[in-house]
Amino acid sequence: MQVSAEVLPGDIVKIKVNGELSIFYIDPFESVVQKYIVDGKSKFIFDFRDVTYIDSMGIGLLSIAGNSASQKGHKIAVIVTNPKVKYTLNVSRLHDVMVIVETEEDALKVFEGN
Amino acid sequence: MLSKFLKETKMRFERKIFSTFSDLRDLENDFVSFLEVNRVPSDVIYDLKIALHEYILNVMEHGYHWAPDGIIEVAVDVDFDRSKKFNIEVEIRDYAPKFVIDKEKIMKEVNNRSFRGRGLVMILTFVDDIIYDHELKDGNRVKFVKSVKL
Repeated sequence: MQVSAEVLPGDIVKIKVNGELSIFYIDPFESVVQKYIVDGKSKFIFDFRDVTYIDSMGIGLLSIAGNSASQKGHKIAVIVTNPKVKYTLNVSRLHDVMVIVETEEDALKVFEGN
Repeated sequence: MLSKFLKETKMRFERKIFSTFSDLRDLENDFVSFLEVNRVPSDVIYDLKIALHEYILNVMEHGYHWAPDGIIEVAVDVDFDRSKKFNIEVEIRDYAPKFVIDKEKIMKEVNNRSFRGRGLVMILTFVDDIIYDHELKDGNRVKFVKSVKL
C-alpha cells in the first residue's frame, strides 16, 4: 500500500491511498491521518480511487478523521470508484461524517462555502 | 456464459493457523486462490474475504487477546450445483472463551461514533447467514453461508 498527502488551497488535506487498506498495511495511513489531525486540520479529502480493498480498521480511521472534522463543522470527502469499496463504505454507517463522491471536483464542492 | 463451462462440483479447503497477522495473511491469500480456482465470482470472493478477515481478527483480539499461539481452523466448502448455483460455506473454529454474536445488538449499537464493532456489522452485511454452534463444549464454531446463482 502507498500513501501520499498534499495540502490544497483552502487548507484542504488530500490523502491518496493505493492498494489494500487493511490492518496488515495500516500504519503509514494511520500516521498521515493522525499527523494532520494533530496539526489541527479538519478538511479532508481521501482519494481511494486506487484502493482495492478496505477493512474495518481502515474504516475506523476514517471515522476518527470524520469525527475530528465534524467537531469543526465539516465532513470528510472520500473519492471512490471501485464498486466493492464503495459498497463497504456505504454500509459502514459513517454517513453523518462522510460524503462519498467519484471525482475530485465533487470532493472539493463538499468544502465550498467553508 | 461462465456457467456453461462449469460442471457440478464439490470442493473443500482446510487450514489451521496460529493467531498471527502473518498466518492470517497467508490464509487469506490461499483462501482467495482456492475460490478463484473454483471459478467463484470475484465480487463473492471479496465479500467472503472480508467476512473471514473480520471474524478472525475478532477472534484474535477478543478471544485470544492477541496471543500468537491461539489456534484457528478454517474449512471452506464450495458446491456448484445443477441449478448453476454456488453454495459456499466457511466454517471457523477457535478454542477461545465462548462468545455469541448478538446480531440485533450489533446492528443497533454501531454508528458513526464507533471506532470498533464495525467489523461485525460488515460480516453480517457480506454473508447471507451466520450459524453459531451452540452445542459445542469448548471454544466457538461459526459457519458463514453465501449463495450466488450464475
